[in-house]
Amino acid sequence: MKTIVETSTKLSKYLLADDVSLTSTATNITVGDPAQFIIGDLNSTTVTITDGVTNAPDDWTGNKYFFDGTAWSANPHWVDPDADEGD
Amino acid sequence: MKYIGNVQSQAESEVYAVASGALPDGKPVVVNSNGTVSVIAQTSATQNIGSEVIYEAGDSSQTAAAYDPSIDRIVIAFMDDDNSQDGTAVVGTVSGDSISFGTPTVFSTAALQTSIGIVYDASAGKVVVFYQGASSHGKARVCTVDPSDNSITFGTEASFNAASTNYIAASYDANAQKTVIQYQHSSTGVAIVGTVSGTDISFGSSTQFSSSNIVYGSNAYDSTAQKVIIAYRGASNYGRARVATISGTSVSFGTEVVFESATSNEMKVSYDANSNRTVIVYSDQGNSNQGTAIVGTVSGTDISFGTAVVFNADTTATTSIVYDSTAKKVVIAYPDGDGDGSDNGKLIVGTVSGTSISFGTPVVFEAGIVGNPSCFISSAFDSTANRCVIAYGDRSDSNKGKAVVFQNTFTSTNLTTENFLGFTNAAYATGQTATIQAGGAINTVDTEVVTIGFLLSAASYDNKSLSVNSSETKPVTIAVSTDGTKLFIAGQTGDAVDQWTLSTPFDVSTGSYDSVTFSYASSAGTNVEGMFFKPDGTKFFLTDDQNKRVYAYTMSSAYNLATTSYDSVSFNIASQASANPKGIAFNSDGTKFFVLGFPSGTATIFQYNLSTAYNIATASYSNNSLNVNSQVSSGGGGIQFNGDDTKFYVSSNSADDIFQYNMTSAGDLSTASYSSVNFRTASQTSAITNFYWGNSGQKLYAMSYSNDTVFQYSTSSSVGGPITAGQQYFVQGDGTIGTTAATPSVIAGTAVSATDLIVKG
Repeated sequence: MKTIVETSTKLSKYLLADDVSLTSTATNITVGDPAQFIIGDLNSTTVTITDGVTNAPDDWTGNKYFFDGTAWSANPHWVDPDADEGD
Repeated sequence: MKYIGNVQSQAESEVYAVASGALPDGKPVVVNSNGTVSVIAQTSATQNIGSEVIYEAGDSSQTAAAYDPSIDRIVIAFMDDDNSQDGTAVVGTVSGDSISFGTPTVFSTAALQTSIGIVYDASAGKVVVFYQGASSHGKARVCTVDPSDNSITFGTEASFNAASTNYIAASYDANAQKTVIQYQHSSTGVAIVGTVSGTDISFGSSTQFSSSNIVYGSNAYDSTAQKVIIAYRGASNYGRARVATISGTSVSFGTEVVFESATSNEMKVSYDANSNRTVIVYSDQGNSNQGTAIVGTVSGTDISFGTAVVFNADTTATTSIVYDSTAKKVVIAYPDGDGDGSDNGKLIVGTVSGTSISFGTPVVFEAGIVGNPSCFISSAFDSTANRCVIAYGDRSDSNKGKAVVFQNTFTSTNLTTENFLGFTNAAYATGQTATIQAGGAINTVDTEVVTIGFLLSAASYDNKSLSVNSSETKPVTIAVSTDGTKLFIAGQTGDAVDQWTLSTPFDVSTGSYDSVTFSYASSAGTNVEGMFFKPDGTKFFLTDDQNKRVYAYTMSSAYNLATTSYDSVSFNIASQASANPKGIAFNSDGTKFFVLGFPSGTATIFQYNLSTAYNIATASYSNNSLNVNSQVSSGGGGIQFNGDDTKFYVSSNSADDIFQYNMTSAGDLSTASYSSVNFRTASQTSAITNFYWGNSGQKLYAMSYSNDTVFQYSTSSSVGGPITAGQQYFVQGDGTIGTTAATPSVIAGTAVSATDLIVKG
């Protein structure tokens, strides 16, 4: 797996399969080739990408964990998103 | 007439058109859509929020609003919780800063559980609602409004998704003349295209735009790119957007873009046609649920974003956004709080610049509890009334469905980049056929200097003052003659009006006491607080704090205080200004006067009407009053109108300020609101007891009680004057010409003399 970590906060924002290509520019990050989606609020200057991650938490969700390049730790401010059925 | 260049004949440089409105000589004119011509003029308004109006007395939610410009009506769709959660719609008419409604009418008896999509289909001239119908399936109906009674009927219900359908949002694509609807289906995001025909709607095949679950979707149409932007909370609960392209009855999408890599809730989208940008507002759960906005730019089938900007640094449970095409700004409405019972409804105006957005000061539109995280606020822009309508459920009042009308501050002009025609060669009355000198002609332009007065926002101290200590040591009020040669003060030492002469008109530094005084102690008593002189100088009026009355006096020789006599006429204002009546001002024709008073310690303006101008024996209270305590507080003093009664001004000696109020109907206090314009005199004096305009508002005189001194300010600006040969000139939005490009940028031509200009071809 590979993870995209926001460097300033060390929050793991994305966890992706190793074979998913990432194209980082000063503007954004394109995920996949062809593009699956574009990360518009992060770029090559604001993230740290770590490949070969093998110890990601089973319940990984974006912003739920910090990653320092080696170890994972829980984000104490994490709040589960509200219910997503109905309105 | 002279011609230059390739102009072959007079006819090629002149246009003949019917004047719509009077056309002065030598002024630039524009061609109207009906072929007539008019002078270039500006219209403006200042921010105001009308009173709340109930459109549903029961519990309402899932609010969605749209404006139908073809009949000038607002349509609000909502879930009527007190009526089996029926889908219901109501039609409103905006009038000034208020709105009135017809009878709510049910469009679906199935219990709604999710957001309602609503669009105005310009091709069909109909409003269409998209909602969760029977068996939770996606349904739609075309609305037909009868503007004569604001009733609403619906076409046949059509299904666009025969399965559970949630988080419905829609927007109309004016280019394709179809509507894109997005919704949650089987934990994915799906879109479909709807086509209205008559009172029915049909649908193409659906397209999945997110294989992950989506919630909180919202759409907007980018009229420049001719694309629909959809925003939603998608995979990882992140804020995402895609650009939708309609082809036939199908829709395809560009690459998905994450605009917020954190949990994002309650997305709402609007297109800003002025900046050609899309604005998405949302609650950023990754940042303490703060209200956040981000600007998107469409290029082809993709969208990119600037940096997110927080507009409310508190929990923002839900939002709405609408583009005000007159003010060229977006208006965001939201509850300021977390839905815990103290969430005032607020709105804030956003200005897009480049790929960012900045915000003004938020204002409260509902001092109660507004909405919760379930789409309970919706906004629509009435492009005829130039006002926004905010519809919401008021949780502090049994969730009643309510609406307020918001007037944004704006200045607009009828000048566009295309409609400038040329200059008038003479003055014309409306309906006359005017000759307009167009491209290539040499036109003599109007170089008259026009001075604009009453510009409180432009006030500057003249470094001129006058001590009146030699006639009065407790001066409380002031007046200046129309010709600027006489100045009058009244005070509480002499209990008299004192007359001074200004040897240079309107220049207080040239003042000298005339040793002429008129004692009013036997009539108005010893606590006079306000004074107003009739502009022709034959009458003046005083207010007093002892008997709380207005008194009238006559000068047999204009502005000659030595010829004064009491009219033996007074008017009781104690029933309104029951405490501390202060300043008094008459409107321009003497048929109304306003008094500032402090009943129960609350600064309040009261309006009185006179059946005979300036005859207070014919006065009666109008039942119109305005609470100005937020600005004036306990130390208020003077009140004055501007020249055309569209504004009045109130001074406060506790704040050392003069405040400006605007009236949408001239001289009608019921239409007044604070303009957010004020001028502070603290640099000269900290105790203004009163003030007076002079020289048609070009001068302002502030009376200081503590200094026994009158301070003089300039409050005008000038436009016009000679032009310079060889200089290029631009048409300005106010109908003048200037050397700098205005917005829009329209070249008038190039000057060939101090008065003549070659009209741009």
